[in-house]
Amino acid sequence: MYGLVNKGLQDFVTSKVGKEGWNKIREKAEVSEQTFVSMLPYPDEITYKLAIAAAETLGVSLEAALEGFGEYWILFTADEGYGDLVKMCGNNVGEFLSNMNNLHSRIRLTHPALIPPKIICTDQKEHSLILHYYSNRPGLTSMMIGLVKGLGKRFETPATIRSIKSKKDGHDHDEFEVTY
Amino acid sequence: MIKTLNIEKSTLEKITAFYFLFDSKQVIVEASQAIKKACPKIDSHQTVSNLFQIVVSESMPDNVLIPEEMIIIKYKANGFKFKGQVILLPSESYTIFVGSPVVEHLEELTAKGISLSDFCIHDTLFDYLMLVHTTEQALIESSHFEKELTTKTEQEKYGPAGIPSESPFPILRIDFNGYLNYFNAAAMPIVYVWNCQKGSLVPPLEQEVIQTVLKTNEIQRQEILSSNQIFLLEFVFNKKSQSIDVFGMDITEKRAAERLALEQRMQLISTNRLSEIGKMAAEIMHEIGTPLAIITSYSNQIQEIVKEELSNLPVIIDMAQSIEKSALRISSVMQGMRRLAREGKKDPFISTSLQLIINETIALCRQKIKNHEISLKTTVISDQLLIECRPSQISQVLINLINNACDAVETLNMKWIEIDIKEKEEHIEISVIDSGAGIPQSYRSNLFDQFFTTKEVGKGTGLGLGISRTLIMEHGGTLTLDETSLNTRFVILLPKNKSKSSSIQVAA
Ligand code: HEM
Repeated sequence: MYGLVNKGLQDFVTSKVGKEGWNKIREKAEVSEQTFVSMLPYPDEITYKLAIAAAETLGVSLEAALEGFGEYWILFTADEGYGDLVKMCGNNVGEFLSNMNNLHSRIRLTHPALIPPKIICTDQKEHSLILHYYSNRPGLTSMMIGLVKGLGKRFETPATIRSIKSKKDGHDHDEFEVTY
Repeated sequence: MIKTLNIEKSTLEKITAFYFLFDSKQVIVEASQAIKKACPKIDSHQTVSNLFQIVVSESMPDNVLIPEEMIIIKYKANGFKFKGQVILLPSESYTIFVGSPVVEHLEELTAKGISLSDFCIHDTLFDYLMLVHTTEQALIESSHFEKELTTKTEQEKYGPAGIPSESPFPILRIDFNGYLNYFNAAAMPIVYVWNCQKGSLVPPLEQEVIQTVLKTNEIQRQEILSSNQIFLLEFVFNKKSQSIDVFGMDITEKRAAERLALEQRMQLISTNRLSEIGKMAAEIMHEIGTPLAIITSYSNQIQEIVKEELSNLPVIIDMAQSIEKSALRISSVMQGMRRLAREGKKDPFISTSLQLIINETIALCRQKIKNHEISLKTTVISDQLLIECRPSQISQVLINLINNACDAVETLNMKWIEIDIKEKEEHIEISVIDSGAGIPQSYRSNLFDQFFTTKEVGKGTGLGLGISRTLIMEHGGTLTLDETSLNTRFVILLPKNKSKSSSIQVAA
């Protein structure tokens, strides 16, 4: 994954346990990079190892840590110079989610090594939709959940997300009902 | 269906996001969603020239719309520009403007509320803007890295060569004149104690050490105490950098271990000493026990006889009473001594009258108090107020506190000690207060250290506040200094057991 993601994770964890805490997590995960370059791709393994070590240190499950990170990601990208890009994605949770494929595809033009998720919205109603999340990566479902919750916070409309179909149960993708 | 075109509006918008149609009189009849966001008034059947100014048209004067040539139109209301062309639609009597916004930054679009979904997927404007944006971000990031790098190299440059600033050991560098040139993060507590910063003089004591190193060319060692750590500092002459390098080591744990060993030794000694006293007391008890019994019983008898037969001889009564009193006092001293002499650790907890303990304790200290002309005030409590305790230990702690108080007030004009007892809901509070003005702030933090004393050698015998506190803690209680009190006040809180009665009154 691109360094931006690892930077986001670093920021998220540092906000919880401070710089020292992060360094310890980095050591625990046996990751030698002290800083990440946003525009450089890194092996996914680094992100996973960091997330696992962070969850252990925070004393929460990996799922909970990833969900927290997903929520944080919305704040982080808006702060970390991507504010205008985030603003371009829409003015409510539904519009925003519908633009995610477009956004990641466009990001891919400048980040050729990006392996973006596929996020498709169907059954759009005024305050709900069905979200289909396809990913080449394992185990990031809870991050998706956190992302939606983060969007709810961004638009000050509490968003709920409920799993309908899960990759865990043998489906080819995760499906959620999102209300906002 | 758009009435003017044989095509769905939504389809057209996917082909070209920013367009409007106008008739032969230049009245606008239709506009796309996206262009409406940038130019809100476009819907109201206005003419093109009312709303827009044509700023560039290659060969023609302004405000002439030449088909199929590049033009830039500017929305008058807010200056927002589009680059594009007008196309005559031959089968219809309409003309269409298609174009795209002239912008340099994403924020110019967000400011108008234009979103990602307003762009056609094939439109590269958005990608261009993202590229600009990403490049900017990369530049910002690289300048961050550059800054980080310069600070790091600067640190390298000014820090001792080869000594990583992340070293977990405190490292400081001082020049021959005593100015602090460098210190790493681990040395912060030391710099704090020295109260200096980079470029300032180290304290006089350290300056002296530096001079010694220079004179003798030998490593000098020094111990320094920070708020909660003890460091051993080694001052080393560094020929290459022409400075004194100071290497520190945190020896807090080592010292704690040494202390523990010392404590155990002291405990042994004191057990020894106490058992000597115990033996002595036992002997004395044996020696004077019987005579005491005789004195007590005789004086009682005398009082009875005198009362009955010689009621006019109050002097005799007085005397007899004082015989009895002093006999009781001797007995009390003896009892107290015996109690005190016991080490107490293995004693069982027994329900004991607090008043009895206090009386015995005071009896042991009375002479000292009297010698220094200190006045003593105690709370009189009911004999029935019992506490579950090891009486010898409570007594030892009280003696310690009273002794300390005596030493503290001995040179003052106002000399008094008060032992105040309060019965609380769950606790019994015993305060030892003296006329001193409290404990200086600087002593407070290690007041309860096992061997802390401000007294000169030989004077600070007894238990020390550290052990006293431990003993009280073993009783499930606390021993604290009341920092809010104007006078020096130590407070013992002991958990209460079901005491029977609780009449407390104050007596001088
Ligand atoms: C400006 C905002 C955003 C940027 C710059 C961004 C960028 C990225 C990047 C760089 C990755 C890593 C993929 C890789 O490197 O191969 C990623 C992954 C991902 N993004 Fe975003 N993203 C943004 C917003 C969002 C939002 C708002 C959502 C969802 C609501 C989202 C959902 C995801 C998910 C689920 C992944 C995980 C990839 C996977 O499942 O394989 N992103 N994004």
